[in-house]
This record gives sequence, structure tokens and C-alpha cells, in this order.
Amino acid sequence: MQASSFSLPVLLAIICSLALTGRLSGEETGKAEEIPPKAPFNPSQAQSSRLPLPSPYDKMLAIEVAAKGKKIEWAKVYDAVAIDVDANSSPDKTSAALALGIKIADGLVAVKSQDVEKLNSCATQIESLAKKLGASDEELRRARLARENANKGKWLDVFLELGFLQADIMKTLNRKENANERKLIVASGWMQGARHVTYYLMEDYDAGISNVLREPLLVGELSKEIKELPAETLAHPRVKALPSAFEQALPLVSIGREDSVSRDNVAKLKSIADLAVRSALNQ
Amino acid sequence: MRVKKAGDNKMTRISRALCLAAVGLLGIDSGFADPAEAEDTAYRMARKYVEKGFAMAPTDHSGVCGGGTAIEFLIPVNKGLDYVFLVGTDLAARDVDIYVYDDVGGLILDDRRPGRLAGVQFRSSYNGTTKVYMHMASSIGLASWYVLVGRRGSIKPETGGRVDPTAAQSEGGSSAPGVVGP
Repeated sequence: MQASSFSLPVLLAIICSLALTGRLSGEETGKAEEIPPKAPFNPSQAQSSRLPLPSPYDKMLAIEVAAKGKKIEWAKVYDAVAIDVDANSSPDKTSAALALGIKIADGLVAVKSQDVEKLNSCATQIESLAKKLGASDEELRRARLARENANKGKWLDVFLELGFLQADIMKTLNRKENANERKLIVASGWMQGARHVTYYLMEDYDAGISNVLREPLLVGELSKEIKELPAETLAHPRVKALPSAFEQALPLVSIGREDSVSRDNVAKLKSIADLAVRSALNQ
Repeated sequence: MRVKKAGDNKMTRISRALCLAAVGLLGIDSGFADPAEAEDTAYRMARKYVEKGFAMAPTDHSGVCGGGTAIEFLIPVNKGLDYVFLVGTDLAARDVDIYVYDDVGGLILDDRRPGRLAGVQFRSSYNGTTKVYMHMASSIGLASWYVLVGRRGSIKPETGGRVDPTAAQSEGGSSAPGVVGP
């Protein structure tokens, strides 16, 4: 008995010390670490990942660059295009997902407008909708950080926190059972972003700038994803306008790198996006 | 016959708990991915580029994979903007690479340097989409990864010099295409 009560702690001490030593990296121990060899890269065997959450922010930034420093009043675009959403008016997860995509796009225009009031309003609506989709308070803590940075005028920090907030929300939707809601957020977000950008282009058309709408690859993939949604989701009254909206939008944004989108086609895209978003919000 | 004492039971329970903890500790580095660590690494990398005037955000592309895995994803880009694509990982990752292709399959840039972090910076010459590959070239067991994208508008020409680190909280500065030190 004495032998067993002695050997057990000794054995444990040895295991623990082995474990702790194992946790030290090669750098810390000063010894060369055995690094598994570099695997060859073969793009044809790559796994396809989810489609990204589209952001009108890049297009707005590109418009500013193309306009060569001309001051653009994004706040006016926001006032004309953004839509306030009451989470209580989204009766189910499908409706909440569509509304969330729209508010995320609006939030990014609020950041570009550098308007605290608009940003706070979007952040509040995004929080309410994300909660409806099952996001916890912990997953939404970035919304508070985004507001704090907006109040300090640190807009790049607001963009960063808003980006992590979106990623946190999307994480809750990356579970298999939420895959459809995730696709709907991406789709409605793209449509609302298109509304913001086409509104600006209609107000101040410039053929040289209109190429910012070019997006054949992403819109083609989005169109495919939406069509592949389950029949019951496609039959949802707020979703049913989306497949044809993407189908009609695709040829309008499938242009050459140096081509322009005519004013008529910008107007067409705007009305397609207007209809899809109004339908998504049951308006 | 050996008589079991109350003290023996307690000792056995403590021993079992310690054994489990030790086995757990042994396994952490070698077999378990740590997504939170990859995200923290990415966040720290992002902060550095925010100070350089980039609007940084995660791409919602993150995950856990083993060595040799490549993940393909799309990232929209716009003409004239400077972009930085960064991959942050956890300690289980030993070598991660990133490849960026344009929408007709031409390679824009890659970062194949050995290391747990990868990053490229370039100015987009077109509006559209890039096809990005994250390649976990080497890892010990499963590793976590997290991709970030930064964009910055600048009406200044591409200079090929280094990014101006004093361009904090502004949208400007020069652009240095190439791999970047995350």
C-alpha cells in the first residue's frame, strides 16, 4: 500500500511535466521544432467556401477615387435609400434574415457618411434582428464598441468593429440548419448595396464611374445559390422576388473591365433592386 | 485482504482528474485547433493596418483544417483601391500561404513564405471579384485560420514604396504591392 501511494504522485508528476514540456514551442525551448513538410498547393482540389457578405463600402470608396477627390454626400444617399426596420415586423427567421442583410448594407453607408446618429440607429436595428436569429448578447458586444468608436469619430475602428460584429452574427448562421438564412442575408445585403450605389449613379451619372457595378462572378454565384434554396423558402412571400431579381441583374453587371453601364441600365438595376428590397420587407 | 480507506478514494479521484488534465495538456498543441486564438491574431493584425489607414474587416471566411488543405473563396474588389488580404492562424498552424487570382484566373499575388501568418497587398486594376486561396501548407493536427481584408482609397499613384505608417486614421498614403509582414 505504501508503494502504491508513493508511485501514483510520482507518475502524475512525470506525466504533468511531460505535458507542460510538450506545450513549449521549439522557439521557447531553443530546440529546432519538427515542422511537418510543406504540402503542395493544388487549386483544383481546393474546397469552396461560403459566399462573402457583400459591402457597398468598397464601391463608395472606389467612386470617391474615380471622382478624384470630389466631395460626395453619402449621408444624402443614406437618407434617400436606407430603410428603418422594426424587428417585430419580421414574423419569422426568413424575414429577419432578409431585413438584417438590408440593415448591414445601410450600416456600412452610415459609416461612410461618418454620421453617429445614423450609425447608432443601424447598430440598434442590427442587434434586434440578430437576436431574432439567435445571436446572444455576448455575440453582439461589438455593436457597443462600434457605437463607442463612432462617438469618438474613429470611423475606421467603427468599420472594424462592425465587421467583427457581422462575422460574429454570421457565425451563428454558419450552422447547417441556418445555412438558408445566411444566404438570404448575403442576397438582400447585395440588393440594398446596389440600391445605394445605383441611386448615387442616377443622381450624378458618369459613364467612367459606372463600371463599379461590374460584378459578374459574385452575382452569378449569388443567383445560383438563391435558385438552389429549398422550395418552401423560395415560396416565402418575402423571398419570391429574389431569384428573378438576380437573374435580371446578372447581365447588367456582366460587362467588360473597361466598359460602362449605360444610364438606362443603371436605372434598370435600380428598379430591380428597389423591387427586391421592398418585397423582402413586405412593403 | 486490502481495506479501502476514505483517503484512498479521494486520492484516486484526484489522481484521475490530474491524469485527465495531463492528457488534455499533452493534446492541446498537437491536435486541437483554437479558433479564438486565430481570431485574436487576426484582430491584432487588423489593428496595425487600421493605423495605416485601411478599413479592415473580417471576411466571414474562417475555419479549421489540417495541413495540405486549400480553401477557395471570393472577395469583391474595386478599381483603384489598395487592398490587403491577411490570414491569421493559431499555434497549431505552422505554415500558411495565400494566393490571389483575378476573375479570369490570372495570378495577382501570392505569399508562400514560411510562417503562421500570410498577407498580400495590391492595388486593384479592375472592378469585380478576386478568387482567393488559403492554403494550410503545414500544421500540427488541425489548425484554425481567419481571413481579413483591408481596403484604402487613394488618389495618389502607386509608388511601389512602403506603406506610410503615419497615415493613421486617414484614407491615403502610398501603396506597396507585394507580400506584407502581418
